[in-house]
Amino acid sequence: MLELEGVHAAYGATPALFGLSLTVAPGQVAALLGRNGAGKTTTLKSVVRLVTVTAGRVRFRGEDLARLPPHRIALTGIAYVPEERRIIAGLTVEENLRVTRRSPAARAAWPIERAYDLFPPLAGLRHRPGTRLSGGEQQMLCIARALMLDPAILLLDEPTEGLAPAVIEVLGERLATLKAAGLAILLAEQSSVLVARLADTAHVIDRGAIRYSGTLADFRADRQATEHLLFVG
Amino acid sequence: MLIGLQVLGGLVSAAILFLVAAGLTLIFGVCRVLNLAHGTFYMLGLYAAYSLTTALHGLPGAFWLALVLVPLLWAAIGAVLEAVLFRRLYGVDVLLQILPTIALVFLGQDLVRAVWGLTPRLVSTPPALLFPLHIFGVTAPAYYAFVVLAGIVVAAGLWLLIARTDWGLLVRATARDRVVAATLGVDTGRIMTSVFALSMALVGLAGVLFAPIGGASPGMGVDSTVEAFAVVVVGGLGSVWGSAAAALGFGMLKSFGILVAPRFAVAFVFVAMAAVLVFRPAGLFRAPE
Repeated sequence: MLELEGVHAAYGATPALFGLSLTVAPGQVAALLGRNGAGKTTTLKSVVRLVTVTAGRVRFRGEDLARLPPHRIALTGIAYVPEERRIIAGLTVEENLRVTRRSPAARAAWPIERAYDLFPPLAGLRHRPGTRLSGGEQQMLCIARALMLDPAILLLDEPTEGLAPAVIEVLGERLATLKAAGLAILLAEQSSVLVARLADTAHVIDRGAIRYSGTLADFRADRQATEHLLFVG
Repeated sequence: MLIGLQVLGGLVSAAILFLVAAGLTLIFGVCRVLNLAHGTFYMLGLYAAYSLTTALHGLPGAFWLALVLVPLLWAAIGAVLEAVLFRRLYGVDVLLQILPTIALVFLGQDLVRAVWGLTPRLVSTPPALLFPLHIFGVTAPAYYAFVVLAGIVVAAGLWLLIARTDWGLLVRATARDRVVAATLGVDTGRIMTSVFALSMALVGLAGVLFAPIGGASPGMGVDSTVEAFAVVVVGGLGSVWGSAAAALGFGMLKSFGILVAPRFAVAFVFVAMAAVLVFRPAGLFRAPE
């Protein structure tokens, strides 16, 4: 469904991806693993065009995304949840959820109440400024906000970073529910908890290219082969 | 009695200052560009009102037509200007941003010199609002009260638009985080174009409203930008409500300053600005970042 093919990407004059190829199948969760600075964030950004793709192709449901600006890419069904939990300051929780421009179909599929059903803690906080939430609540809000697009795929950038194990547990459970409902996820992660729970395939990135791709089971069996790519030293 | 006159005069200044400053602060808040030519469009608004009412001389509704047409025309010009020029300036070094806006200031001044010359041009007060009004213990043309009322109505409308409508929500989101807004499907480019158009409509409206009071004269564009800039800085860059409060304060300060020291009335405004910035560097209504 989502195909990256020989993608080169750069921040200004600084290249960050070097011929990266990766495929996410419908309804599947693909884990993107790698050290800090390996290119996980850039990979997600190359899909939503927040970084310049200098060569290669990104296709979504067969459509080449190269010609689309970021907001049009979002409307094709790709929801991006950035790394540092970017709640829009000055907006309440509910306003953060309402920012999304979306089709009538998305409105019908994801009324705001469904976001509160998915993450009940948010319901009681709906009129609170979004920046005045705990880290876990902010992550829930960011994911819920992305879901308002009624996406076919969710790009998650290190969603568990800095969160308590209990919160990660809740997130994992909710993401599993969404996966069961047919949502595909490209999950960039450092920690293994969510990956073990959700992922169908694992892709190890190092220095801007995929060095290993396989099913999660294969990845576990081959752990020795990828260990040096994931850990320093 | 003198006090009443100063209060009314202060409110009129405040209304005009607010209309100009609101546009300046909106453009800065959403597009992050300081448009030094904003006051130039205020000046051109006055001249446009002059030409339009002169061309339609004899028509009783000429002024009202200008009051509607000029803001609409200014909005259209704003949309084009944003798409052709300002869009290229977003995120560029601040010096490079300011230079083209200074070019617009010169272009505007030359346009005024070429088309209207150096003589000040006055627009006559609409006959319907010529009657004397008793207000604050003084008798003043009803037109003054109309200008104040227009300022209040526009301020309230602007509040509704920004705080209560979907468009306003998208504007606030774009102002705070353009990148996240875009990943949520918001066409931030179109939002910025519409903000520019709105800001230009406001400054055009300010020009037409002030035309029967002060008339149009060549140097007023730069003066207006400088004053509006002071209002925007004191109110807090990007804060429309801050601008409203600061405009009110400055309008009064100017009006009463004339009583105390006529030659320094304008200077009072800048002394006040300096004083505010010493104690609240981010302005009155903006949390320091």
